[in-house]
Amino acid sequence: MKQKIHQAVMGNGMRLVAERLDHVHTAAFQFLFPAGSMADPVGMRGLSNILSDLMTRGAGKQNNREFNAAMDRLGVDFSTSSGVLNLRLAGNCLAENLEKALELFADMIRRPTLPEKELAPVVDLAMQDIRSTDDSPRKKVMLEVRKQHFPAPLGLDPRGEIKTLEKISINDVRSFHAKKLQPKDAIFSVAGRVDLDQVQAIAERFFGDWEAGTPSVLKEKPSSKKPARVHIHKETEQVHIGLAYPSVPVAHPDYFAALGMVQVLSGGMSSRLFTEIREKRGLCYSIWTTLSPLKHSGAILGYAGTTAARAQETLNLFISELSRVAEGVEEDEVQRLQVGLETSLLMQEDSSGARSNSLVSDIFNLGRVRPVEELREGIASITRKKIIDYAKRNPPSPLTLATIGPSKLKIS
Amino acid sequence: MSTAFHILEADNGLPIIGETNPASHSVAVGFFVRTGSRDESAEESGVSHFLEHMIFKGSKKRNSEQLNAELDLIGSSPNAYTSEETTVYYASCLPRHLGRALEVLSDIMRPALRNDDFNLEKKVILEEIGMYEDQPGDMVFDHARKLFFNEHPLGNSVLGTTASVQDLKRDQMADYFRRRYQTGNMVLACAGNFEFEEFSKLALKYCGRWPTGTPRRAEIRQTAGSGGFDVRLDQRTVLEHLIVMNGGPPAASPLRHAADLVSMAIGDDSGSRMYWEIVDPGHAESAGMSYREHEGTGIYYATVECEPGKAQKNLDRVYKIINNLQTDGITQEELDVARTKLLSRMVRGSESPMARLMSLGNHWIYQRKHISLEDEIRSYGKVNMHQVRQLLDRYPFKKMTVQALGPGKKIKQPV
Repeated sequence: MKQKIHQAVMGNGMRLVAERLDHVHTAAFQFLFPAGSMADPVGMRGLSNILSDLMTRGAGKQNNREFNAAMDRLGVDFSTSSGVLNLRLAGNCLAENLEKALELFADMIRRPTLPEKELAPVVDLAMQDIRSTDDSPRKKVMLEVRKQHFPAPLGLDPRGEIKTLEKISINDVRSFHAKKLQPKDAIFSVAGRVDLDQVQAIAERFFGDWEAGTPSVLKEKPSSKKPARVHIHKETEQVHIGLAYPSVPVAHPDYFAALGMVQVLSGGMSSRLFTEIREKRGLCYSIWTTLSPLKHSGAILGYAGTTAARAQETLNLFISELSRVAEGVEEDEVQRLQVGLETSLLMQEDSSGARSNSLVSDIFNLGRVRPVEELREGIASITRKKIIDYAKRNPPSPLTLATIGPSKLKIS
Repeated sequence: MSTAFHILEADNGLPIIGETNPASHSVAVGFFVRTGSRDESAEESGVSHFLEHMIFKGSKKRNSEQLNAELDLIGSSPNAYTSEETTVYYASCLPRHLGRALEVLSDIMRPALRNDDFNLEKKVILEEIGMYEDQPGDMVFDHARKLFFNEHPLGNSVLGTTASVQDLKRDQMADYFRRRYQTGNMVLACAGNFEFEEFSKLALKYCGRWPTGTPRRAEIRQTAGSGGFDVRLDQRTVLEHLIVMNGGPPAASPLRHAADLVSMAIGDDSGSRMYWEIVDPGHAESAGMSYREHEGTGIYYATVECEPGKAQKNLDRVYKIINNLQTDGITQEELDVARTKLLSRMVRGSESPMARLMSLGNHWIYQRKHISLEDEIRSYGKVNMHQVRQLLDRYPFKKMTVQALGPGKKIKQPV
């Protein structure tokens, strides 16, 4: 299968990457700016997130209602969000509406109104969103473990805190937008039933005359070297357990071995955590690990939820399974994980949204698009030995542990 | 896109249906069973969902360990869910693995229900209930449905309670399985890149000897709901979770498309009346309305999650929006925008074989017919202002049922 991909760098530095998918009717697109919460000024964490919410409330010549009605009339599903590293704007529509949709996005990105009267409700909503995390201990425990594991500001909640949000004024938002959202270092991806030449022309028309400013360079710091522990007492039914320990970034030669190890642990129905903790002992309903690779660092994150009386046993087994990978991996485990990884890779091809997301992430993390064929080769290159070697060199240590529940747990 | 529909009924009554699309990269296959918590007696509460777990504990031919390894080799993401009225087992995989996926799925649809597995899996279910209880945003729906449906079996909880699951016996489950998993109560569906002839031959080989029968569903009457009002105090919860419910058209009603469009105009998460009047000004973290169809009846949910101090005013706002809807309907512009949004989401959703499988199987279970994407698009296209009025007259918003869950004490029913 030959992928049809077009790439270009515009005069102002904005990178364009587009892929033609013949079998879909839609076009999905994404804009990425390296202006996530790491770019927030000190004491004003959450500013980038506030900007991403405020940008949708009027742009170009249209006010809040007119702008959103225009998106709705085109049937564009869109979202704006701010993570730790990036601020992203994404949209998805029928392919024939792509040009009109991008015209609206150009307004939102380059000419947002950022109206003062909309700031208070946006801040209010952000505060409610932060508070609402308390009603989902599963989500909260993972936020806590990130906060403990990654050095600030990398591990901090990109939404900020109530006290930092209170300080934000409309001028802060406007100046953040002017300084941090620049075409230089921005990435724009499109995937779907699109004409690649036409996409290039549209990009030039809407973004070609955007003047390049000074790029903002963000540096990640390495992960925590000290084991951190945190417990939040709450009278919940279950103890919610979050774990984290260091792994490798996307471009690292060990990336596929790390991916393979995570699959051995929790990649399928026959994976070790599922088998040992849920199937054999019935200790959990939900238990998983995931590889969370960033551009310059990476971590393995894990979760389990168990009723209090059985939580310590679950944690002990969880950690011992993490360590046990270094002792050996079976050939049939490797075979299964390869089938699983290849299947999910190829299934992405049925979704324009998944493709546009991969394109943008590849450019950001690697500076190039990784063809599907290369990923298949990477998956095929995983062997028992590579996983074991990786596991030996990257034991679950230092291990960060966060728990929420009625009782505190110990690491033996 | 060149999709085609195929159907074959096995001699034992099992319908085998497929929608082929050679342009897809994958294929999705599943068994849909017309059974769920509404088909349980009080002593069996939770058995449909528990059985769904036990299916993955294996058949006489393979135990759970062998099964799990085989499923992973198919590369599928095998999964299942249980609702109030359907239980669905499905997998999506690359076309070359379909034959094996079908063999394994068919085999486990005749589960061994081993005692040891039953006792072990009971612990997992109890953990699942515990996890659910820690999520007030999920729990509130269980309370809400119980309040709305009252004695109607659609109010039965899917998970059951800790006590009901504790008390369940393996033989009760075996009995439930025999009663409900008969060919007339099931459909085998497949969507995506595959050959129907080859698929149906295999299906006949694997499922052709399953017992025939069409069990009845006890209670399928229409209901407008209890009209109850319940404020459940939960001090552990930070936000107040509100649900306002009202009766709507059933799955087989020609008015269901209008109901979808009206809910979208009133409560879609962007651009709707609830969005502009409640979320945009910052009164609530989220607010929306959705319509859910069931066999024999339907229900609208208007939901709000907000700070407890804002709950009363938000409830008043929801009432005002709904009362205005009942009196004045929606505008032509609102109808058109809702339609555009819904249709473009539908077309996007249809790109994955998994989404087509769900549509295919569920339409069959509810209506015993194939409804193609084009048919659905046409039906939504036909909804006009007259139909909207018909919907509001036939299923009026005049007896709302309200469930609140959270730290707020002084929430009163709006007058």
